[in-house]
Amino acid sequence: MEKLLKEAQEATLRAVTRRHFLIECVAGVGSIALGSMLGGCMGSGSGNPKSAAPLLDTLNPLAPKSPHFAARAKSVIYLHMAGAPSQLELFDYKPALHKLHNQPCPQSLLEGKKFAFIRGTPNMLGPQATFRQYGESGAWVSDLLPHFSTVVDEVSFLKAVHTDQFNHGPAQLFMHTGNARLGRPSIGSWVTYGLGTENSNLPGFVVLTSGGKTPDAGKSVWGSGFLPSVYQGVQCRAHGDPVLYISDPEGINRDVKRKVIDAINTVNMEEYSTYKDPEILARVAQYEMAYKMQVAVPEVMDINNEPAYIHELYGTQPGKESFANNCLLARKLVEQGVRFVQLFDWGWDSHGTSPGDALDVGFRNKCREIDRPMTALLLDLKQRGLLDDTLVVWGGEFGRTPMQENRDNKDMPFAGRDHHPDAYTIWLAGGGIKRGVTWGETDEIGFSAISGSTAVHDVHATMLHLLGFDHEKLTYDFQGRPFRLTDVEGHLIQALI
Amino acid sequence: MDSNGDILLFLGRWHPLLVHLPIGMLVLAFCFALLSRKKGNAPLVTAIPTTLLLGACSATLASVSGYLLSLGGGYDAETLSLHQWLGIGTTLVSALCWWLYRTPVAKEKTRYPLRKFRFAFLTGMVALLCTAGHFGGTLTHGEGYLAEALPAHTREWFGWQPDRILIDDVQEAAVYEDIIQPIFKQRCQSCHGPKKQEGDLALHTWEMVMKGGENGPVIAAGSATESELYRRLALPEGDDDRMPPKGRTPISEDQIKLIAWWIGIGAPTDQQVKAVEQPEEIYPVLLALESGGAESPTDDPRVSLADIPAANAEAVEQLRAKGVKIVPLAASKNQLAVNAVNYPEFNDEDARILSALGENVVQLKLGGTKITDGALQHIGRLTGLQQLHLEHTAVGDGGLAHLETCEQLSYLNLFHTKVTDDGLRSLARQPALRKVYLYQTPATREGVAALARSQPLLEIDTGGHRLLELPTDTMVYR
Repeated sequence: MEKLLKEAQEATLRAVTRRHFLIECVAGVGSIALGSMLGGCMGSGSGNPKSAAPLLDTLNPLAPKSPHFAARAKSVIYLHMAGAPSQLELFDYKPALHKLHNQPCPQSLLEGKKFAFIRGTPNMLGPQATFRQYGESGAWVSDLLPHFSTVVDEVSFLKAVHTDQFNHGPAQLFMHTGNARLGRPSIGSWVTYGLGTENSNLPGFVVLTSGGKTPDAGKSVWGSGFLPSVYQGVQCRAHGDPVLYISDPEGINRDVKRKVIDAINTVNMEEYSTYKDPEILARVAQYEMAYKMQVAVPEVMDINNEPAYIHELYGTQPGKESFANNCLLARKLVEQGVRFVQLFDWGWDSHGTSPGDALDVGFRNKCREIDRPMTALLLDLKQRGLLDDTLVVWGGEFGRTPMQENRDNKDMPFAGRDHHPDAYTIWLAGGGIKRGVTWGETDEIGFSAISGSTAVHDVHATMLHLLGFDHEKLTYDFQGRPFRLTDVEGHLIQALI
Repeated sequence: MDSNGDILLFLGRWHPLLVHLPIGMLVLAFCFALLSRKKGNAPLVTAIPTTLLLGACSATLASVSGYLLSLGGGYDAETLSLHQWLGIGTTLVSALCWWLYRTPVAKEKTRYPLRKFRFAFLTGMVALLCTAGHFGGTLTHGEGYLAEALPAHTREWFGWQPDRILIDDVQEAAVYEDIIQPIFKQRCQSCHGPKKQEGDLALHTWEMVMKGGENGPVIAAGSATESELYRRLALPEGDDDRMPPKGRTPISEDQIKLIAWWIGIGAPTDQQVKAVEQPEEIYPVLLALESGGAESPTDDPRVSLADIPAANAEAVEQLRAKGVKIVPLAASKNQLAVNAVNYPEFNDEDARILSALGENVVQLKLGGTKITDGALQHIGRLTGLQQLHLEHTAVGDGGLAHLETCEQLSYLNLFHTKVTDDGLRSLARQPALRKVYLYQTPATREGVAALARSQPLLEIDTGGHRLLELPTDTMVYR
């Protein structure tokens, strides 16, 4: 231990030369001058003194914190269908589209529009499912989600969400970070930054993926951007160890591990006292958390001990990577006080180029894969009294066109739709939102919003509101200005709260 | 407003200017009188009669001009009469004061016994003056002009509530009767009402609104922008044509939006709010009618956090040291959420420590801990408790009886506890209870039904949900 410290000290001394001294002098004098020149604007950079209150407890960045006002939701489970499921086959029932089936799309719809793949004049594509109204709320659901249709009264629908991106990567980034470019923190990071986590033995923000691939936007959709990296999502795997390298190597027991971590943390804290870099503290906190997670995570991530009727309810098969397993895990994590559970299910990009991405083949299989688990998730959260303060959000990164895709201006072998950013459906449940509300309406072919148009920022603002935050005040100073999830936009969706 | 150049009205319009002269002078006289009571300031006495005389004269001018102004009409009759007589009273009493202060004390002591009380008269005159002035302000700026600007908590302290249109359930309300007509009544009818119809326009019945004024209809149903009524409301401040005119209580932005919305949906006379289209921008305005617009839209209406004293710091520290998470519900509030997720050893003794936090604990999560019925005795002292998680504990019927003192308890999680029908009977006496979770408890269907009957607002979830096996569950499309 002492040897290590001495070594670090000597290394530092050897590295500092006369040139360093000169450079530091110059930089030091310069920054003193700059500091006095900028004077007042440094301290009050974020304008509102209340918002400038340090949310960041550097020694314990994940300690639970109070939101701006009393929250209705304590946790979030976000079910993201990567690839963007078709709203026209699930929730947005458009009988008029039946009549227009196979007829050429009117030019008025195409003028000034740019599509990801559609070229020339495509034909319209009628709904590839049958619809009925369910529950007291009379929500429209297609026959592709038979189980889900039994719980619609718990759910509220946003029928006219719009984004400004029509490619998966940027649209997923926009949906999860509020910006289509890389570099912003994801919503889960913002939430754990604002609220910390209740269970100090588990990460505050867990990510679970299914469908065989991670989202197109890569791991940035659960990244922490410019927030300290301790707030990034922790991806848990379905096979083997849930978190990579969580088991101790052979021959190392828990006591030895403790001593190793203590030694590393002491060195890191020495470094911190020299450089005051908060990233070092994040590292210390992560070592501590990793140590505790070694016990807590395998326990919570193990679904083998769940009773048979729970497996039956979700349709889970232990040991497999599946959306069903992830739904059950999400419930277990939230039950244990995890703040934000992010699920990604890949395979919803129904262009109609092959059976796998055809609306009448692969898409139906995907629907079957999520129908029972997501319904079970709502019911299970409800019977455990968790749905009251757990917000469940379901959606894709954009919607799909009412037109049959005609990639390269050719007929497609299967029914499929192109990407469509103007109007798509997201549903929310629990977390104190109103139940059985349908907000927003699209035109008779589901192409554009005619009322209740909702921006992605509005969804974010509303989610933060339910968690107790004024989305305009949850900020982090970076590159000279306070940043927030909703940037300069976002209105609360009053119909839901 | 068309004025046909009435000279009397012109003189009347000087009232707002003239009225400030007596205010200044009479108050000055009072200050002199007050100061002169101290020996060193005795010479000031000589200035009092002159100041009072000038004050009384200007008060007379103000009274006359005020009367002339009132002839123009458009004021609330009751307030006007109060203001008028208080003003005239002030004038008379100020003249009397001048008479009493007029001559030096020594000579006339015997002849005017009233002189002894001249300072009392003067004080009374100033009080009259202030009251008259206040009602004058009410006439021009509207009822509650002062009280409205007070910070909310001070207002509560005084028990003043600004005059707002409040509706219990806005969706059930009638658009015209309950929302639009009250706005007309509040803001327009002193000039366009049953008593007075400036520009031949009256707004106290739907028919009169539709009939319009001397220049024809003021409402073009379906289009706010083509409606004269809306155009006048929406004009920029300071425009001569803007309504309500300068000096009268202005109409709020939200009220203008509501009127525009009403015209936009065709100015119906008998529609309910829920039956008509509610565009995005009107929704929050309508919602604000329910709360009286007092709450900002970001405040959670369900959990109102009063200002209560901070919790017992010692007990908080003691519990935190054991790993219990104690976090204020909201920044700078003293209501607490307590969570024992990282301290499953939490037992009845810890509950005793917890009870020292009293009304501060609003949310309490003790799921999966070692507590027994004994703990609930202590938890019963948490009188502010709203949400209580007891799932996966040994708690049974005996404990629930202790919760009766938690009168605000609205959420109770008893999932996987020993609670039976006996325990449920004691829940029937929880007034605020709205949600109870009974999954995996020995409670029977009959017991649950009895609880549901006695607590109609209560949602009871007994869990055990199943999903049907459907043929489509296993169907694979190829």
